[in-house]
Amino acid sequence: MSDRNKIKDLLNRMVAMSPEAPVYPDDIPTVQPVRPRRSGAWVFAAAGLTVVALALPFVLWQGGGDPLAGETTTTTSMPSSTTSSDTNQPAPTAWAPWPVFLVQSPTGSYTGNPAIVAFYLGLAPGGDPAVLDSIRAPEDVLFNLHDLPLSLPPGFANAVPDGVKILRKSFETTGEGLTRVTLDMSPEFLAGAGGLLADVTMLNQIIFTTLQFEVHEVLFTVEGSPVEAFGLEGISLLDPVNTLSFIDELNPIIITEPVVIDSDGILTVRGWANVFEAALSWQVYDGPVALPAHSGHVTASCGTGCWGTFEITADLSGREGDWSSYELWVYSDSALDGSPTMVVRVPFSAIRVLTN
Amino acid sequence: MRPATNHLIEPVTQSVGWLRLRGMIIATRVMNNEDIYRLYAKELTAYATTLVGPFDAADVVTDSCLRVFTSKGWPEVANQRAYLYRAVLSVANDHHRSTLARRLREAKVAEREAVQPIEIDFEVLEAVNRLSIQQRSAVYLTYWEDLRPEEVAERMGVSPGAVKKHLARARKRLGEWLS
Repeated sequence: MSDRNKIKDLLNRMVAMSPEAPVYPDDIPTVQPVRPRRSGAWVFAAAGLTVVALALPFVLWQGGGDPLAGETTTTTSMPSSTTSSDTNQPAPTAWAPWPVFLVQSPTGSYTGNPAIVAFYLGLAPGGDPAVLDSIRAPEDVLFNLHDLPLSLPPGFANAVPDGVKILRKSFETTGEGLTRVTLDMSPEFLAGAGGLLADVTMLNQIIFTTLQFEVHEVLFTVEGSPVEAFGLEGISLLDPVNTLSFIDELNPIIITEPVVIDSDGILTVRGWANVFEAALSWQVYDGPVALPAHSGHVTASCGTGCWGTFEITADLSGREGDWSSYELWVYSDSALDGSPTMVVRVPFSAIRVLTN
Repeated sequence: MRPATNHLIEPVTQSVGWLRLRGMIIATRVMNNEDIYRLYAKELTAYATTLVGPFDAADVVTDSCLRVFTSKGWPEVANQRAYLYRAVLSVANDHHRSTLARRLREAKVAEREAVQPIEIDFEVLEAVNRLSIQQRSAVYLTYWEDLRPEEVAERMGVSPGAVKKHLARARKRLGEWLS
């Protein structure tokens, strides 16, 4: 049997398991478009013609229903902002030199998977800026967050448990020309973060943080030994992993570079998304108030089942010094009612403002 | 003026039952969402079965149609069939990646305990489980629906080159099955 026939046989047996098609769900909200308004004369004439020309077909169609009947419109509403009171922090006086990825529970997520966002972390009030000089790499920030005097952005958390440390780190170039880093971890690493989703989120946080700058894959070992079983479900980490290895366990919108505002007041957001039709929206809020001049739509380079890149720029010039209560939302519009889903919210208090 | 409706002109060959008998009148009948659903639900369910397995296929189809029929852009969609396929792929992709593997484990336990609700072809599910959702989609649309790469690409919302890549990788992962 040829390969083609073998695959057809496979599909034949797969489709044979197909259940009955589900019945039409009666509770689908009807989103029929608004019928265009016409003048009275037009309506009268059209009605007359309709009666004459279509009377018979309508009689015969019984049960087909008038497709334009029951028209309704949808209402698009923004959920009220639940800005944390911590948002109004003073701007940090110093920043960690390398970005790290932190975890947020996105709003209205269809999958429930957590979002990760890259941040430069600011020095906590009263912290000694001299300690920042000892940081040599992004993972040095991530695995020492519990010890370093750095502020976590409001609404974000670190899934890497205290006590998990890198014992040794080595780099090599693979046969494919990729740069691989081997992270030899402390034994606490094997226990994961306490739950299946938390375990995978922890891995994603480490992988994304480690592979930011010209490093393509990471191999984990624990005290020199391969990792056969990690975390609650015993995930095998015998082979190197990369940013795509567990990406489907994340929110479909990821901010892959720290959001920054340059000296001209231009905010830049870069990330990856895997959303329906690759369509993304963004909006800047001042507390609970949406700023209409600072919103827009962008299209990722791929969507509907594949990951694409996107970039958002917003001109905030003229609003300098007024940003502490701001929050940036990046989201996908709900197909159900147009409301924001899979929302990633980045507080401006955690955005680094670049100066000349 | 053409109203911006979420209906299509139904080809007479796709109309059902007695409607087909009424020739031209029926051939230009405008379909509503429920008609469209009835027309495509069966093939979408078969497609979803290949993507996520028989256990969740019905839910995926229902969720997809819910998304599509309530979408603001739906009235303007030209190729509604392809759009529905893309929606099914999107919802299937949103499913937890390990869902089929988990369902397979549960089904095996159920089989041991003789409480299997439906007849499961484990050999086939294990072979399909080796493929990503995208690869399953490309294989189904190419070999089952017999579509050209350009048509597969339209239904998947990717480029024809990506379709070929998915097919090549799928064939590689199906190695044992094909050997």
